[in-house]
Amino acid sequence: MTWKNSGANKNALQPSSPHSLMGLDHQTALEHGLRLPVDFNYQKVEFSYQAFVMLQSLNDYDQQQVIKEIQFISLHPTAASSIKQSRNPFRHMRRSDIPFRNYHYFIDYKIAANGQVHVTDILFDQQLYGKKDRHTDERTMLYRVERIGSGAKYDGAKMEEEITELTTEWGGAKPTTQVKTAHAAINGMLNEFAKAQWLMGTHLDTAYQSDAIQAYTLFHNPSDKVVRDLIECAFDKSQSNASHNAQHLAAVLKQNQQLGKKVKWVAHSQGAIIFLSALRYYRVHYQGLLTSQELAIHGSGANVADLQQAAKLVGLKTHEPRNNPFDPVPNLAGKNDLSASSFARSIKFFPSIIFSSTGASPHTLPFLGVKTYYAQLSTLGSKVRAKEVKKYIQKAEQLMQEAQKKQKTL
Amino acid sequence: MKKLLKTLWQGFVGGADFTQLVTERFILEDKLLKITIPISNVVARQLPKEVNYPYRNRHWFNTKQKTHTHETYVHIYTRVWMYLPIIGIFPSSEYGMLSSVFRIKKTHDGINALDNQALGSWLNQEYDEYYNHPEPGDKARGSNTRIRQEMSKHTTLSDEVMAIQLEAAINNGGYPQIPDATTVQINGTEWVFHQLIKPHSRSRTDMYCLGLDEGHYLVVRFNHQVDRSDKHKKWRKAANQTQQRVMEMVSLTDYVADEPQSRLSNDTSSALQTSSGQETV
Repeated sequence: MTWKNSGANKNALQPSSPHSLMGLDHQTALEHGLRLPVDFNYQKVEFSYQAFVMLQSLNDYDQQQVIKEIQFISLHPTAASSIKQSRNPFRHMRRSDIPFRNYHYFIDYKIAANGQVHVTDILFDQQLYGKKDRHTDERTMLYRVERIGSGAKYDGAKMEEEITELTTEWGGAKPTTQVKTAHAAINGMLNEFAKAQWLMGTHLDTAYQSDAIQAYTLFHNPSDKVVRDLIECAFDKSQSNASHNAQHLAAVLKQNQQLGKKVKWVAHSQGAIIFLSALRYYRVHYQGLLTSQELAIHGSGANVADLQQAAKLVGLKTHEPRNNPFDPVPNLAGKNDLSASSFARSIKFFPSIIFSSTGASPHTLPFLGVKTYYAQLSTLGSKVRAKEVKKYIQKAEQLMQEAQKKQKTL
Repeated sequence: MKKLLKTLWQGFVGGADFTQLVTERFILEDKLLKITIPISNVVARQLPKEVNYPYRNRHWFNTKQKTHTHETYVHIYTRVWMYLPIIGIFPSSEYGMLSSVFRIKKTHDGINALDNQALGSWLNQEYDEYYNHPEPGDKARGSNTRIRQEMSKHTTLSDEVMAIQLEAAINNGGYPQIPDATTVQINGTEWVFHQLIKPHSRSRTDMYCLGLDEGHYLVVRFNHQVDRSDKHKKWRKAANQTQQRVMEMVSLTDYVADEPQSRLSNDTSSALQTSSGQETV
């Protein structure tokens, strides 16, 4: 449900209360950070103070979506509200727009005797966010996720008990309009909401090891099944396109900067593709630098050099990427290493990204360094792969020694 | 060939293989807990297992106990099984995980763990009191109270809309009411069956509880963690059957102190406890 007509507004609202009504004009709206469309009917719509504050607190993307619905209400105040999720496959294919008919905010309004629409409240539609029976019904949203476990972190090979602890470490997610934590993360493809919560918490713990993270903000990139997730990746990879996820993320980055928030991000896998697309979108549609934010890149589905360059152009600090040299996602999909040896490594390790979840996979969990990866594989008894990794380490060390010798002779 | 046909028929690889079983034994004061369980298809780090669980020793219990949200327990044993696609081409395409965890828990003063009805009521009470705690805190304590407080700020909503939104908020971000605990008979033993479920979530936790003495009880906890909701029906039935069969192979008998040590060591039947292709940390 997106909006609710609560009937005629019989009660005069007390001024200076949260329910006081206020009319807007173009100038006042702009002064308060609201970008209302040119054809917005200022005479027909009034906002309660509470609704106005909520609208003002939204990032640019959310604000535009909510305003679009308020505008619809002002034109059709008696129209019934739909509670259905859109199942139109063509809408789902269009990656630049949200795949649903309704946005996930609930607009409560009343029709005054003079026909004016009084928007009394705007809040998250509690029926539309969070985990859903069908994961394709999940929404691109910001959630505040809390550490609810006893501090389990991923730092090497784990016991079965520790694996279960890792997957229940983060939870208690609630929707949020803004990033109110010092850390934030964007997940990769095929990550349903429940999985994204613990996995991105684990990635943040690894990326910012000296920070005792108790809560973080998840920019949830919902999964739309394999094919559409891949289409979305390809769409965002094209320089001229920005998916609705990327547009939304760009607005979140802008809001953080405007509010002077210092936010440390992690982008994992497809999340890195969305982040790159968001930075490109930001440069075209917004102004100012993103100097108060930083980014850690994990298992990047995007080209790291492109992402670092795009980040540099907007003043966003990036950390050394954590890409496993045996992970086909950054090597091949991200075009970070298209050498013959990288191709061979990726092919050899391909089964381990698809036949393992929280462990020896070089992609799912954070990369802790190639020597740790070797130790991990050895501990877990994966002798063949451990041997491959050892060979890689020896070769790298040999190359390093040769380079040092050359330097000395020069 | 038979195995391949079976895999194609069931629609997934992995899960518990009951042709490869291992038997573990643990001494819980005057009881002997014997678990016969399929080996894991997840390669994990192995450490020597503790055999003795003197849970009546308050100091020992307090030292060993762990807390996760509303549950405080001493961990005994964990086994996990992954369910994976037959042909997985993309990362993060695993279907889910079933875990079986054995724990010892304490009851509140005045609750007799040997009385199944009292134990069942206590389990629901413990859950309700934690998430509806009047003072919201960390680790999800008072989550429902916090949601009610936040929703109460939206005073202009009609009663009908408020009721719908509040219920949805608790279902999504809180801890909704769970079914009352019941009792189930397994191999002549009556266990208290307790479930943690949430609407809109296919993941669930089933717990079987059995009183050890008046103040302590054993919990066998099965967590069905669904990572791909669109693929759950492929492995749901197999996971439910695994849960049932594992429970049928759990026994809690009186422990005789002079039991030969050899009988306490672990037995492995049919196969060594090694990887069957899937790896994890």
